[in-house]
Amino acid sequence: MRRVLALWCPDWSVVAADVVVARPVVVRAADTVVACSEAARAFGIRTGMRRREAQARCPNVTIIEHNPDRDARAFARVLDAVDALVPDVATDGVGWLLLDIRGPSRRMGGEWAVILRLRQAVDAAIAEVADCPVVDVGGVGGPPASRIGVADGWYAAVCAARFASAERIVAPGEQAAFLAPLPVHALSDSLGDGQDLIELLNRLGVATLGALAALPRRTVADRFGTHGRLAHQLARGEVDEPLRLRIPDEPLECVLELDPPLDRVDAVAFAAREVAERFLALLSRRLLLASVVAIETETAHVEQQVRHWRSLNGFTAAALVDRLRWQLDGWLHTSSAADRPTAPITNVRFHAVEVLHGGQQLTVADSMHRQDRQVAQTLTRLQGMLGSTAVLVGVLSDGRDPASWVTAVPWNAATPSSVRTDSTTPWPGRLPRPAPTILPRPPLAARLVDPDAVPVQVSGRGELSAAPARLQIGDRPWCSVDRWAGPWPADERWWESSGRRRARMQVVIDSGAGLLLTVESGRWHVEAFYD
Amino acid sequence: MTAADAAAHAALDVHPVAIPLQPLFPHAGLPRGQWVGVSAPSLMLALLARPSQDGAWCAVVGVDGLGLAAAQESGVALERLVVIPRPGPRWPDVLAALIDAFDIVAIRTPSAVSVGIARRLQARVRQRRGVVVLLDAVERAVDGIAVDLRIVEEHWEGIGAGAGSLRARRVRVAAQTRGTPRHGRPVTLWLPDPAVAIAADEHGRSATASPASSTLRAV
Repeated sequence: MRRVLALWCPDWSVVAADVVVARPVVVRAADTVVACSEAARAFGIRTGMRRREAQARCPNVTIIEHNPDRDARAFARVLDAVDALVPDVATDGVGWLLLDIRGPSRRMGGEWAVILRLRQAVDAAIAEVADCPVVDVGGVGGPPASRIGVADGWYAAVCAARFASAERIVAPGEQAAFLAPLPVHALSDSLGDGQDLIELLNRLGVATLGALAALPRRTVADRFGTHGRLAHQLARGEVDEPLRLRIPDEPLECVLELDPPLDRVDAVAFAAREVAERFLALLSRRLLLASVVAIETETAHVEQQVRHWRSLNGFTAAALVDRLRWQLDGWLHTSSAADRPTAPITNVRFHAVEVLHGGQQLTVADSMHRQDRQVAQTLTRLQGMLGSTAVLVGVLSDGRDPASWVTAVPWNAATPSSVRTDSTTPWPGRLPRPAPTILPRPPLAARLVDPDAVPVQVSGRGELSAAPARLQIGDRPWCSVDRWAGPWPADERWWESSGRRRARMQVVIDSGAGLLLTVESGRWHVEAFYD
Repeated sequence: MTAADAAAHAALDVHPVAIPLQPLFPHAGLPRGQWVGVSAPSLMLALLARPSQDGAWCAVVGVDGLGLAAAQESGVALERLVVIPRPGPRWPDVLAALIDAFDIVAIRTPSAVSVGIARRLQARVRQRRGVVVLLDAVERAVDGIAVDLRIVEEHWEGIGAGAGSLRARRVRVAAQTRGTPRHGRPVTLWLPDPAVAIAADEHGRSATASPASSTLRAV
């Protein structure tokens, strides 16, 4: 059984910035607070708030711009400190570390011993970055001390670090019990864009991870898709289930050889982009998703540096290149001069250390694609059966007829050129919204008469000959017209005598139904129903 | 299982509908594996709006001349909607194929449903956990309709004797749920919502760009 240690440096974006951590500080990305100091929290400021709200709660709060590169560069100091103690640490690069603690705990004499040594080293590194000694949970005099959790699986370890006090060891086999009372909100960090799911669970009264874990697996997967299934697995504390981590059987790697060697970080990163893409393609061909990627760099003097990067949702090429950049930056600025590279970079190697099997852990997009494929197959089959123009989808377009506000085009057909997507064109004769729900093709012949049973006419100037009183659609029974609006000219060239003269009216008949009528050359039709 | 768990479980088994329509259903949404009846296209579109926005694939079969602009104004996500206006005499096969792949299939059956076909299709819907929305099921050959919604009263606003235009409609919708002998208390709501007309007044064509902005409100 695995034992995983998670170490968290809280408020890292604040600590990494060149500010006095003891003061109220918020870090913003666009207009949203993404991190804040404990002193800011004392004013009621929280992450996710708008900047203006944060300023309202604490007018002299220091606001700094979010900069992931800065966070990563500073975090490299923490990683250096940890590397000196334990091998193969995986990191997100900006505040979190994960490692398999079994080896170190045998070597150092137990889990507590590892925790103490790590904490000492990491807190020293934090103090160095912030230029101020660390303070314990809730203190405001300096940067917050690191928090550590240990459990059988990475998720429980992460929760232990985040929700317990300074450190917490969850005994083997007890992580499900540890997770059960936590609020479902605890999933938010681990699900990426799973905020909707959390809100939905809360609305449904599923408030804790225990309540979520108690739901049948099948139902959760049906109702909430892959996000839900992952959340469910996390909540159950299924040790290997959440990630289905496995060591790849074959080496999954791509190497970039630089000739001539490069001595600038941005140049290496630029050159690595294509290799990163090749590496991801190699994985996706095997339906794999890398959860931990090792990036190895080597100089002309055969100096090497390796770092393990971890991401629950897999990496994009851009994300991998960012990690490479952070890693090289950290290497160049490492605190001990003896450890710095002395020659340009000759090699970069991306290597999948742990992978998720695509068949078991699909991203949400993948699971949707599966249904999309099924839908596509069905529609293709129906087109074969009924003809390609029988299966339609709606495309936004423009036009003054109710039928042409949205154009129906055959499924899978290229968007016809006549569909205008430019919606600024003024269209005289456009009907007011709302749009009718049913437009019979062809329009239904009708008769409209006044109280004396004389057919209603529309003059060349657009005036009614008399107020309409009764309507007959086809040969159905006559019905009375309760209210009406119009007539409106239905053609642009209404005012030109050569133009086709057509006018429209809306009527409400005695049943309460709303109808759209047209008249042309004295003949009335029902063009649409507002049913 | 506690009562709260049971409620959560039941709620998982539906496609939630727009909030004003939720009181019409036992669990606030279209029940998976079941048939639902509606009396008007506008009601049908209103039911599809929220599920399609949530990513459910929806098909509308046999409704010739369906106003897609109205679908869009009702909040239906057009990229999740497929229409087959004339399914022809083989409509039961078309429906069966759609049930296999789509989350919600709305249909106005072109001909009477024989008891045998109805039974076969119902079994399929149950098995695939889909929802079939039956529009204007005049003869109730399909006796397994879980919830039957009909507009019992409608009143258009904005139109007078030769003035204004149709802008919004107040409807009273009654729901009959299988197993209960009488109609529940009718729900009054806007269908369409005056916001559709207002949004068009304020932003002109821009109202088309954001289907999700057209919401359904209770009166």
